[in-house]
Amino acid sequence: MSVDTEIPANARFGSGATLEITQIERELQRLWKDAAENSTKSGGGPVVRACSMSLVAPCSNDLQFEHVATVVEQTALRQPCRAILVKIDLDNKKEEIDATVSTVCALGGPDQKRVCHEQIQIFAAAGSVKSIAPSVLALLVPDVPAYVWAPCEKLLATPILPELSLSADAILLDSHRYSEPFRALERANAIASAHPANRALENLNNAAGSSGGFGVLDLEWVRLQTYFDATATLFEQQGARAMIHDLRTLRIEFAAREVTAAINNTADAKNAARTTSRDWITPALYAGWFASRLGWTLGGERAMTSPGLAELQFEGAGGRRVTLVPRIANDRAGAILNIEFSSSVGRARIARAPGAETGDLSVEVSRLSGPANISYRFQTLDDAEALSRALTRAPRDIYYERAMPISMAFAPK
Amino acid sequence: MTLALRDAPAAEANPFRGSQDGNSHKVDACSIVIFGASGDLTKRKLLPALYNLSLDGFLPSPTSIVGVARKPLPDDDFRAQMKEGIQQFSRRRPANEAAWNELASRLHYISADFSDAGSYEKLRADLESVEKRNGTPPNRLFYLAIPPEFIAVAISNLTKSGLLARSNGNWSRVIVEKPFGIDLESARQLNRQLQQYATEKQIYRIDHYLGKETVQNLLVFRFANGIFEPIWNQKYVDHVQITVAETVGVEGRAGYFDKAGVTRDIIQNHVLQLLSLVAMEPPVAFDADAVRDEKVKVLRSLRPIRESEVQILTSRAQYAGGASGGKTVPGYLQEPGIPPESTTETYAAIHCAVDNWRWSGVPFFLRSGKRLARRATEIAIQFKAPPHLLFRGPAQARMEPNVLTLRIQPDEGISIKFTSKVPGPAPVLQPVRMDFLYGTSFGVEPPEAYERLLLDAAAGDSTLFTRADEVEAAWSFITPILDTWKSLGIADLDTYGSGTWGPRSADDLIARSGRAWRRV
Ligand SMILES: NC(=O)c1ccc[n+]([C@@H]2O[C@H](COP(=O)([O-])OP(=O)(O)OC[C@H]3O[C@@H](n4cnc5c(N)ncnc54)[C@H](OP(=O)(O)O)[C@@H]3O)[C@@H](O)[C@H]2O)c1
Repeated sequence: MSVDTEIPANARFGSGATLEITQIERELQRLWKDAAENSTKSGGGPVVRACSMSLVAPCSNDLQFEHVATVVEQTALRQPCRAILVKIDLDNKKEEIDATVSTVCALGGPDQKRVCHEQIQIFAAAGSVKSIAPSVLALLVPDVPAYVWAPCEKLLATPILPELSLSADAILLDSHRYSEPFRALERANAIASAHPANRALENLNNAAGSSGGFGVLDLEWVRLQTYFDATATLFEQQGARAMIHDLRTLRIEFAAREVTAAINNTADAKNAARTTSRDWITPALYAGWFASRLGWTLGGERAMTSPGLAELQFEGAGGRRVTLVPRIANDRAGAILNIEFSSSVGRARIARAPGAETGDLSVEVSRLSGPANISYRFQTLDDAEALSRALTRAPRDIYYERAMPISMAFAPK
Repeated sequence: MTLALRDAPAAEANPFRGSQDGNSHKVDACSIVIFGASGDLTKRKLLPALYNLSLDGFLPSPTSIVGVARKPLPDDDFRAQMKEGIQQFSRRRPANEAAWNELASRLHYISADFSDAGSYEKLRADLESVEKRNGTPPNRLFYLAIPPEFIAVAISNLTKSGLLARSNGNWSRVIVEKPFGIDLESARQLNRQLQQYATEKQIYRIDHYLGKETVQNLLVFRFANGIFEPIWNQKYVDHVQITVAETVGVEGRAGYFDKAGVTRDIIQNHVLQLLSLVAMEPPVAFDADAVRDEKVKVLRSLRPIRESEVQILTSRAQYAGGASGGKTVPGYLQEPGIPPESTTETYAAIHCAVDNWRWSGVPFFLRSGKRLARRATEIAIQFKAPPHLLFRGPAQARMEPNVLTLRIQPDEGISIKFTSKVPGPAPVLQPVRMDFLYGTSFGVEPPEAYERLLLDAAAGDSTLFTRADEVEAAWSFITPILDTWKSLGIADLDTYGSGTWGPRSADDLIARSGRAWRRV
């Protein structure tokens, strides 16, 4: 993908503690005009300004900011949007805020057409944090949805995200990238519960018929769709459907980092990977999805049954439980490797070797002649793909909301 | 969060299916069995479509793909041929090796003769063994990419061999390629034959135009926006023009084309489908029967063109030699494989009336032709002038009617033409065009029509497929015109220069109503 960015030289739009919003708008108009003229001159056809959303991404450090800018550029190629990237210098207590504007164009689509989006970058010192939300609000594109992406975990603990969320339709997270994903999700869920759009729905008391409101969209949830689909496919195999309503236990093995030298010599340590809270989020989201899909209700608290294993009990006959088991493996931390489902009539399994894109779905039902075994290709989404898919969803996802209480119960104590 | 939300669509037997991911499409694992696997359509369209679906993760894992044709061929040779097709025709190429290998492992070839009932026993046994090996449940989608004369015999043999039977919640469906008959009688006969062996719900008649992203957007545009529907009627619309223009000539399909002509090849199916989508009433639901019920009502409302009116309301012509796309090209009668006395039309235009409440008095002008000036498919809705003209004098000269154009290909998009004041002290008016282009707005490549349609058929959604009554209603309108043309011989057969916008008779046709063709 070749990206070309038009940033006017020396164009900064801050004057100390405030941003010149009108000038930013004017500059954007000028840039579009220039881009159209340049494109027509070079025979590239008109540059058309279509916009289906505003995407706001606040960040607090340089490295993350660069990554975010790249992901946003790739996402904007799929979703015509106005991107507002905010970099906050938390160490600088002065009252300073500044901005640059640009149109970023890349060749994309079947005919390699120039697809352009507007990008506004706001740089704010910690002393000016209060000016950020009003400035962003003034810069949102009217009438189309606004999404706040929170790539920087640190900012979740500041008032900036709730403030930005007030004028948005959803907050986007990437829980698997956070060091404390459960806490981050808890904060995001709290932002959603307190959001006026959701409160208004609650007051209307007819929320069941409504699709509006403010939602939380987790990119890791989007990446997990391929496991959800694998599960659905597994239970469509001969014999497996009969097991569904009799499922008792679910055991999820997921990849964790290496064992530490300190526990390496103990007997248990062979199985006990060194895990952080971050490693548990992916299997916990899957477990929440699975149990809520079956309508299971929690019957107890998270328990560590042996070193490194976390377990949740559910109500109902036959001892329903979900166990998460970390395993040292050469794969992304938290990546799901094996899932075992068992019921009184048989067992089913999703197995993927560490690092492999393809896995096996197998069913063993006692009555079935011969084991059913099929291969399944898991989709891997890069950040831009995951973000772009999240942006095409309705802001509120009923399945995600139902899974949350169960997933959150797996938070390490 | 404690709010209750609207629930997902009615819970299905599998509680793990269904999500709010707009990218997922509920498809059962199945065998896709392509009859005519050594043919042109399979190589150019079907396998590339299946490859792209697989690359995007839309084909459920234990899906098997089985090619069937007469010639015996080892699986590996068939895979090599299909890979070549993908390398040449897929919208994403070169093929991703991992994705191809995965698809290839589920790709098989079975040789059978469709007209030989005995072949089907072997086909059934071979298919069952492929399904067993791959773990594919016995859901079957038969794609009949075969010459039309074999369709009926293939379906009857499929039924007799039990391959179309459904059991234990498993399904069997058949996709049938166009042409669906060559006139009303043959279409009726084909439908009768199909329905003798399969239920209408099992039959998917493909019109690939309906799989195009912009054609589907037509429904979204009309029914998901509140501002257009109130003016989408005879009170505000002056007329509608539907154009399907090609720059190519017969290009190696002389034998087929000379038997068909542009009216059978394009207008009876694609153009009338576009017309029905533009003119239909809002359906009660976005489901297969509700949408098709409304479409068929439009086709039935087309005012029949009587024999005495054919020369006034239609125009037909053949291209003469000339220049097209910078090259000198032969006339139709000089094309290899075309008999010099052929009267087959390469261009046709029809002035139709939709006799219903909404469209009374609004003419629909349809045209399609080969070797025209540009390749373009579009629908243009021209609105009436404002009731009272305030701007008179020289300024008024530039006042043009509002036109809403829905471009299907190329440069898919929507544009609207309106009148604006030129900056300055004088009231000078000028038409301006506002464009929304998919290509410069969404940098993603839309799926090919065959991708969407294969996926829909596997998911059991026939909204974008043509129902028997639609096909017959379209032929009911077209057949009398074709019959009259036939009896007229060459009396009304016009010619037009290659690289132009069509014959003089077509200009006269629209001029008689005081209008003119748009410059596309
Ligand atoms: N090509 C296109 O772009 C296109 C577009 C729209 C619609 N269509 C329609 O799609 C259908 C197929 O078109 P096509 O262009 O692919 O035709 P094609 O290239 O002539 O292929 C015909 C296929 O049918 C097989 N076949 C013919 N008679 C058979 C028999 N008795 N038993 C078994 N197999 C038999 C042939 O295989 P063997 O001879 O090797 O056995 C070959 O694979 C036609 O109905 C056409 O109108 C095609």
